[in-house]
Amino acid sequence: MKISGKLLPLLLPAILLASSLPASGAANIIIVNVNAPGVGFNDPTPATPVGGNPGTTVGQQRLKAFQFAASLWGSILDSPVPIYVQASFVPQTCTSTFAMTGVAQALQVFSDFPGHEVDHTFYHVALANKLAGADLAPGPNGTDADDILATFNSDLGTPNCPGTVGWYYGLDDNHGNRTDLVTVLLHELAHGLGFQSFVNKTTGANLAGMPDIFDVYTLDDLTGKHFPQMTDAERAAAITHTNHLVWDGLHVTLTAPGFLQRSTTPLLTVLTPLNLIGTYRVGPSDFGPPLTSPGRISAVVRALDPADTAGASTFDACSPLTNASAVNGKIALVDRGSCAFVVKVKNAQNAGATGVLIADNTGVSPPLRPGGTDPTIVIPSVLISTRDANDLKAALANNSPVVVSLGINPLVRDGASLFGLMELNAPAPSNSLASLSHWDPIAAPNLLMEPLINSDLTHDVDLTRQVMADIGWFSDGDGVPDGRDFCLGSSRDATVILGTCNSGVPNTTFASGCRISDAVSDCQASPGNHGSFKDCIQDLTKDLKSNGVISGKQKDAIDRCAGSY
Amino acid sequence: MRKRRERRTLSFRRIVALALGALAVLTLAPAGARAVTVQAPAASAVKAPAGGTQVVAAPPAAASPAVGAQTSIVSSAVTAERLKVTTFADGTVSVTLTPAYSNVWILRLNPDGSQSQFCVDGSDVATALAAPPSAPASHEVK
Repeated sequence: MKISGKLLPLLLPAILLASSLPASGAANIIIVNVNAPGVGFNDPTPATPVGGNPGTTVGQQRLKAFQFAASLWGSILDSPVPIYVQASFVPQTCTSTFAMTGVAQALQVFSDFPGHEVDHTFYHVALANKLAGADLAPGPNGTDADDILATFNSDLGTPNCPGTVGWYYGLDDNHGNRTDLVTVLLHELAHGLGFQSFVNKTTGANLAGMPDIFDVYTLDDLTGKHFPQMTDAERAAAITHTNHLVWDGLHVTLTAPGFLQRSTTPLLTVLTPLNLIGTYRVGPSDFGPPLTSPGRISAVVRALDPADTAGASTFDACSPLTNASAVNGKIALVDRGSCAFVVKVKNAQNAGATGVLIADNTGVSPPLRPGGTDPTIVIPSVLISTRDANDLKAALANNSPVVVSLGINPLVRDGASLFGLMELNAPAPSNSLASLSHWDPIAAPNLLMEPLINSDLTHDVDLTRQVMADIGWFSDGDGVPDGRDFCLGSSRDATVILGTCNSGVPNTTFASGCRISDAVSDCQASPGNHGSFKDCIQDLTKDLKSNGVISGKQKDAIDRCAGSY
Repeated sequence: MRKRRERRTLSFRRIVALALGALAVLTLAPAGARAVTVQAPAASAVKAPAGGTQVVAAPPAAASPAVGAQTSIVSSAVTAERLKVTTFADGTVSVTLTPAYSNVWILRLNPDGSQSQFCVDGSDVATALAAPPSAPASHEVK
């Protein structure tokens, strides 16, 4: 393909236009009620219709809410195979302060089935069925032959469970301080439909030795590796790489800027060295001035001080610095420990530092906010994670200049990386709350698939729809993984057909996921008369021929079809 | 002539999109694009969305319809993690998942009376979170 480097930037907007999702399809999501008579969905306790839910018993209202959430997903996704949700309301773990409110999961996963697009990769069964066009796990309802298991707590809201809060079964999202069942269902069903990695968070091991389709788009943006390319150890490390574990599926990436607000979150932006460029999470100190936008750009220097009774390390800044001339006018990097945060920052300030990065020693990420009080401190300071600090220290030790911006970066959006990729939830330690199968909770506005469920969520699936597109729910079967496919919904015709005229020319699929038929459709959609349509097709076929995609004979065949179209 | 040139540009653009689109993903990422949203049902007139949904009320119900026939099983084994892994003659591999792969929605009342809700991996993690939360460590001073 002969495209000059100068021409390419001019053509980028057209590539953006080439990316679109097919119109919403339809999937039949069937709620399989596995409750016994008299309980759960069959609870006969009278209830007053609420928030558009017409049910007149508790059981009916539960079922209506389930049906509503399932219908919403059904209206978005597209599958020829029914999706069975094995559902129940039963008592679950509860105390006066804690409740396990609901559990959901895919019941099976499949790889290398007919119709898959990524080899040796597990797909959630409902998605695998869709791609295969067949029920890969046939069998009786109420067994593992169903697709998704959804079990919810029937005791929620009763005394000691936790008592003061219960379910809201209305369909209008007017839940107040209660738990909106529809929102919970939309979230949990999304996991069951494919928004889930099966990687072991502790060991980094794949499920049964194979990655899953979620992993295909899970990237560590500093190492440049996706999950399937990593070793177990690399995956285990990436799972806790806060702010650097990202999703690079095409449809999410192109859509995210339309959802996310410009950043209001203080960040550390590393501008050099090259291998560390990106944004890093910080814990702004409770003392000193707040971080501002666009932030302070400065070189970073490790602060040195004596090893003495105030602190045994020469990097802890617990005593007046010994390299004040180097620190002056720069951002000082100091280690946590031995003395108060305010002491370290004051010593750096006295040496002329313009800001302070305190390297945490706990391994916790995102870093917490350093506490303390000292009204004489006039420079900003932040805690950075042990891991991020070690990266900076390694660069400095290698004599690589480290230049950063400390503040609110107006170029990024809350929840996306410096390069616009959605950040996945990757807290350290890995056994802390939630999993990587969520967005980073820094995202703003709040998203359905954040691990922390926010009360301002509506019944909108926001970017989750684009995740579903990336993993294959709108697949056109062209063999290009959908998260890399700019033309979802390409014609499946084997040859280029214009109206009723079959040119007989193979409908070539390009690496972008677009096919010749997409370019033909582009001409058809262009305004103009038949003459302009023919011109458009001739331009197209000329380009295809000159780039060796089609022969002269094939060019003539398509042009003839255009003439008779 | 101008129109002709525009059409030609369009065609060139499409060619580039066809051929180089995949390579341009990361380059384009920050540039922005149109948003595709799904509208939430209107609060004032709540209706079930258009997607088909049925309820199978009687458990366990009749067999779900098998749209396609599966090929024969070549092997079936249970791993150390109690996962049943089945390999079929056509190369398909299936794994039956355990509760360790569930997503669990948790509600916790905080000491200040507020509530937190979050989604965690697996029932074991969820159960471990039943213990009252410790005081936040966000105000450590050293």
